[in-house]
Amino acid sequence: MRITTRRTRNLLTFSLIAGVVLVSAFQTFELPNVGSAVPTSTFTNFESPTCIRWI
Amino acid sequence: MTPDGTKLLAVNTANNTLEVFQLGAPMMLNVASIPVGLDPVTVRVRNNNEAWVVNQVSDEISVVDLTQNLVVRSITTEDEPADVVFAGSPQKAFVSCAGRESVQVIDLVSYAVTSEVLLKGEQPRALAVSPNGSTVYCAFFESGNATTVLNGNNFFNFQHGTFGNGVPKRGVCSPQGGCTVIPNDVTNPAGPYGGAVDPVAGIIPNAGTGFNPPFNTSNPPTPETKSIIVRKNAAGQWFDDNGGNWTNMVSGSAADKARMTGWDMPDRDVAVIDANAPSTAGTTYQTRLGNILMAMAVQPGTGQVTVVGTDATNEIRFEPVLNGKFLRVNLSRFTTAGGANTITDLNPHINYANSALPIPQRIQSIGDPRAIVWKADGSKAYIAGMGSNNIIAIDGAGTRLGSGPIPVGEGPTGIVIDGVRNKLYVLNKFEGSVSTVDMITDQEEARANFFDPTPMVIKAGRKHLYNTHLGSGNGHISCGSCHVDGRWDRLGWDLGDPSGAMNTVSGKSFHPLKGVKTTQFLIDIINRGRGNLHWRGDKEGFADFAGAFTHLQGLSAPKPLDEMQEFEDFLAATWYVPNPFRVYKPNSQSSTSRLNPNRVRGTGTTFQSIPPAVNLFVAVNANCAHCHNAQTGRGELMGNGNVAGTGPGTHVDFTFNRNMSSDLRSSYRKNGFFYNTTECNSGFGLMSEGVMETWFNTAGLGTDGAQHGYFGDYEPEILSWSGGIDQANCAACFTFPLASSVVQDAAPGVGLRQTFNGASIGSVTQLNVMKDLVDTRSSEYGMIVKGKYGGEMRGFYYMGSNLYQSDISGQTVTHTQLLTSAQGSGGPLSWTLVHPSTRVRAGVDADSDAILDHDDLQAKVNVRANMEGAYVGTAMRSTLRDNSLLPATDPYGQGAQVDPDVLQYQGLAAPVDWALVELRNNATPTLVEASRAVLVQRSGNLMMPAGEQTITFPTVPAGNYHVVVRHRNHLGVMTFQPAALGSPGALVDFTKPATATWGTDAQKNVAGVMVMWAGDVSGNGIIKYAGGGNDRDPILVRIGGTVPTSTVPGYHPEDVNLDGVVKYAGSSNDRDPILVNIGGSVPTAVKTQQVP
Repeated sequence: MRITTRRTRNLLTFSLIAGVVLVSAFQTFELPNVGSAVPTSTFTNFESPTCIRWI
Repeated sequence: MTPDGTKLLAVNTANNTLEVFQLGAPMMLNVASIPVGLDPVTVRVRNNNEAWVVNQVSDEISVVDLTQNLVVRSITTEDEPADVVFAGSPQKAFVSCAGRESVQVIDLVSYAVTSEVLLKGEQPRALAVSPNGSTVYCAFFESGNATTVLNGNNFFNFQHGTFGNGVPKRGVCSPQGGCTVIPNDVTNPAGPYGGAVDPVAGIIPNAGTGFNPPFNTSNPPTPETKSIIVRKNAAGQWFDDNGGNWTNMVSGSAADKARMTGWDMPDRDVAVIDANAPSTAGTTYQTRLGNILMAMAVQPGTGQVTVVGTDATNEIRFEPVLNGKFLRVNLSRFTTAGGANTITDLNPHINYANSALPIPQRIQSIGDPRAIVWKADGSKAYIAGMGSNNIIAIDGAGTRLGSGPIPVGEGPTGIVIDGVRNKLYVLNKFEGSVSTVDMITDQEEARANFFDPTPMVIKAGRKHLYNTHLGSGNGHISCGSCHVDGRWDRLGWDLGDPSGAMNTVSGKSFHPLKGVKTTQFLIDIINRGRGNLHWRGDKEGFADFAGAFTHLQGLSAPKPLDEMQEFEDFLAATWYVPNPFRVYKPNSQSSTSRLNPNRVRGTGTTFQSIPPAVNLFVAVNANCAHCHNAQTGRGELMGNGNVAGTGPGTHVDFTFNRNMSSDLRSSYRKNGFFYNTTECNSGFGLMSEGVMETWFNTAGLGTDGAQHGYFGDYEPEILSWSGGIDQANCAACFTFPLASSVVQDAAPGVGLRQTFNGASIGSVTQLNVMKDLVDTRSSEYGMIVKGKYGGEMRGFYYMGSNLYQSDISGQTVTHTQLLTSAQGSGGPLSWTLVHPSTRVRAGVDADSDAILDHDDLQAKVNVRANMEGAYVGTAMRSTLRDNSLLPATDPYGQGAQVDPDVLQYQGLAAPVDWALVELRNNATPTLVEASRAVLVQRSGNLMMPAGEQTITFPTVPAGNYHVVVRHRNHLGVMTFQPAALGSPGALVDFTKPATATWGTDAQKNVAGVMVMWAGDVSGNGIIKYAGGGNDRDPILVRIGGTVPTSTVPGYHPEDVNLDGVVKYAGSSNDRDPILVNIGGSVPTAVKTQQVP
């Protein structure tokens, strides 16, 4: 069995396709971390309000 | 964010840690999790190397060295610190202390508190600094809104008998003879209605001489007259919602009224402090900005102070009138202290004539705003809605920008702007994640989670308190709008309904005109006392509040019962913070008083000298504990009358007070309402209607002389109520049925903290106090230790008898060993008091999996790699997923199942294909220690099949390993150096040329981005085009072997470019990449995998 390659043309096509960049909108990278929840009996929840700040 | 832009810092309140994220790479990487004090709520960066973390329950600041990722010292503050800024010349730290109502000033050389600015306002929290650094602004969280209550009932006003000198006894009197009197201002003839109320409703009408909605004429008359709320206008005049002017009764000189002549409530909102010379006397105040002031920032350029928060229309009656529209979410601004305010509604799309919006408009709303940050040029600001789970943008003039809100994770509470990268970073507190938002597109582009131990019951139920889109018709209100953080808005409301029907609950009848009721605390409200819920006891169970979502918050249907159960379960898991008015150790005191006198400071008045302690529970004929007979103070008296020894003609008559005996634990948080001041902080006080002063009124209201003022003796007991009762301070109370019931009150010493670091940092005296508390009161306290010991980050909890259990099973260390290490050169260690039920989890087993933390350290790694076949420029294609060809089970035989949600990820997060990550032995790289099937995302990130970014190997201990990435038709790649894999995970980025890989030419460089060689169809580690075992023939076979142009769709190893189609010839065929990768000119050349 022998099939002739048309290497040059295919390489050209490949390079053209490689030049097409499709980047849609970013979305979340991962799920919320729900697996780490601990028993309520070991947790004192004071509902303290939280923030992060910039200098 | 550090000034150099390399690190993002976020407080992890649930885990009592500071999370450090490395910025600059395509994915934010959680590189450190630093134990700090209890309930960290704010972090501010002082410089690239030092961060200050404010710990609200510990009353402490943890100073963190960012070069070591360690707490290096503790600074003890006053009660409930909330925020810190650095300002002034020389520069100082300013810490707001919400419970103390002050700002403490800390020297940055000695780290000592050098002065305290005492403030005139409730719950000072958010801080900001003027552009020139010379002014510090502090916003009062519970600032009030210039509304107050006028007493309208006779509970404190009825007359019964006379004193020995012939003077009539009036008001509620103690058995010992003292009386507390609050005149009935509503029926005072000097009022705008001449003292008249509607004879049937017992209340002032709200629509001329009638009611809106109309009075239900089938209802019987109400049994008592009721209080009314008034609001001060810009001219200082006080009006009710019917246009009645009560100024003469509020601040004027009418006879026999409750308030002193000249009484006033300035409604102070932002304290303006001279940062160069901070002082109590020199501090001025900006007024009339709103009620709950949640966050604040100074606009660059203009220097304008911008505050976000809410204001309420609580002076308006009744529930049908207020339904869905009783609150505004505002931006309040001022430029010059004392100058004019500008207040802008942040929900301009809401028509407050209506109770609800269609859902597409409803979700445009912002609710519960908890953060505001300006771009550096002052042209635009972003505001986070903790209740609406979104971010909105405003322009420099404060106008909301037209683009819709930016949805982020649950509970956004903080925003950081990264001007260099044009990014916003948003802390989603309830979710335990950080969102990255692109400021060019104003879209969320990524979300990184962090370890969050919050119990599921809290995660599931929290939204019912806070979520404004789920909780209201207009999308800007939730239960948490008034029950702020499960606490209160420091306001009273008249949520009666004139048109409503009588209601019978538990065999008792309730009128729909309930009168003014202050907002109740929801903390630990479930099953913590006796009888029904609500002030009047007209709710038999929590589910009975489901209708409030419809008739108060504007939804079209009540909350379903299963969701009400989630809500209830969440509230049942809330705790009272340590009460600052309690002494740590009452059984060491000389008296039975629990009061901590050092904490007491009045505002706007002078606290009386602390009288001899009175035990509320002593067995006199009629004492408080007859009704307030649970540890919470909650009692079962439900709306109908007197107990033995009371009633008409006696010292107290419950005919005028038909409420439940209330939970007394929140009393200390309700300080601030006084009748005898010109500078009142709060318009509402104690009792259901808020008419009772905090310091039980003692001065000038009696005429018989010495006996008046007895109730003042009870103040220490009431202020120090929360924290539980024990026999040491109340032997007699244990004779009451529920006195020893379980309460979720943290003991007063919970959170106490000392860091030892070398010889000069840390107080042994204070540590001994802490240790003594645990030794003597083990049911109230546990103690944990975190920090560096033996060259590692370690954790311990105190077992008693000078011994600590370490985070290695079976290993104990002594108190002396730990202290000696920390005071020597072993590295800093921090001791913290916790509730005893949390000491094991908080100290040595963070995830409660019964494997102690050091034993539990697993190999974890974050990995990035590109598959050449799918790589099309800057990202990979996800065609296999897009065409539903990606198998749910991994192709490597590990049985890993992809989470269905992960298959829905879009954009650069979309999954491309399965891959395999191996850990190879450090010394013997041919030895595979473990492997895991993972998914490759378009961006190059590898993720767990459930979506977690960090790849964990549960059976592999932390250590040094070579990391290998394999793919079914690409050549695998391995790190040249072993990587240190522990917790938190390290990053191995195979997409970067700088990452050294094993062997030679292990990957392909495509325009500076490294990709794994494509074309190993046979999976034998060799890319081969011709000869035996080549990778080309299988492609031909797959397509049928005879017609070269045939194609076969599907998930096949012959699909080299991962586009879902096996193709031998023509464009995008799978054969050419093989030829190209072996060199393109000599068909017999091969490319060999560089993995040993």
